[in-house]
Amino acid sequence: MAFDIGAVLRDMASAAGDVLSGEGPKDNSCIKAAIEEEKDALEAIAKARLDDEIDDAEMKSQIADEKEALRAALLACEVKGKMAAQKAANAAIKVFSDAVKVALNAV
Amino acid sequence: MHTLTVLPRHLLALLLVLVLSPATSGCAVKLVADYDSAAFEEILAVGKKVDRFYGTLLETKADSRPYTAFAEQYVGLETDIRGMLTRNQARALNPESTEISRIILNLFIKHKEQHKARNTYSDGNAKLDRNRFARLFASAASAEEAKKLSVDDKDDSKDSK
Repeated sequence: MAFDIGAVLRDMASAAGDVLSGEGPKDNSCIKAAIEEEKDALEAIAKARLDDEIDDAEMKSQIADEKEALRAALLACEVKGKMAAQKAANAAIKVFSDAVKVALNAV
Repeated sequence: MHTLTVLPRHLLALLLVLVLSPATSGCAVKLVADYDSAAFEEILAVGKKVDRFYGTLLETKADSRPYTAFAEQYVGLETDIRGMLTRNQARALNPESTEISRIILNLFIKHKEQHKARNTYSDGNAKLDRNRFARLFASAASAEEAKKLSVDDKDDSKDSK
């Protein structure tokens, strides 16, 4: 019975890499979208202050709230990143598992 | 290339079965909670209620927005948001969604207390707060949606619906 560890590891890395190359750009676009939305929100706060719809203290409070909103948006991106890592790890494990099954059947 | 050919075949087979059986019996890496459609729908429903609350508030004349006129709605919405937080806290591998719910709850309580202290809620603040809550609930929904797995990986037993 021959179990080619080198080939299995290469296949595992390839499977994980395929998943990550597909999921990676999604993570980046999630972070970019969060920052873009934050920019719009800060502009709206600045406009509200210039239009005298809110005072200085309220503007400060609004900006503090925005910090929390950005944190929430980035937490959602973090879930997407973790899912990508999970999918990549499981794709690699499936390759490994299939190779073990083939090896066991050959015994 | 590493080739394992030196061990007796039966010993190698036994080792493989003992050491690698988790990998061959569906063992998988798990970093994130399973998608929960009930949690997702709860986010949409509570988010819609909060948006409606701000819509109603903004439709009320600015000088007719005493806290007491909205107190009952605040209590109901705070309870709904606490329910979201509790559901997320009860799920394993779910720290991000739990924290997003906590952020929403803390901000909602902050604005309730401000309304109570000022006994009014200006258009300027209400419009900004309404848009922010919409984004916060969208973040919560996006985090839950991201947990969806492919059909092969999905474990329907973890769906609370």
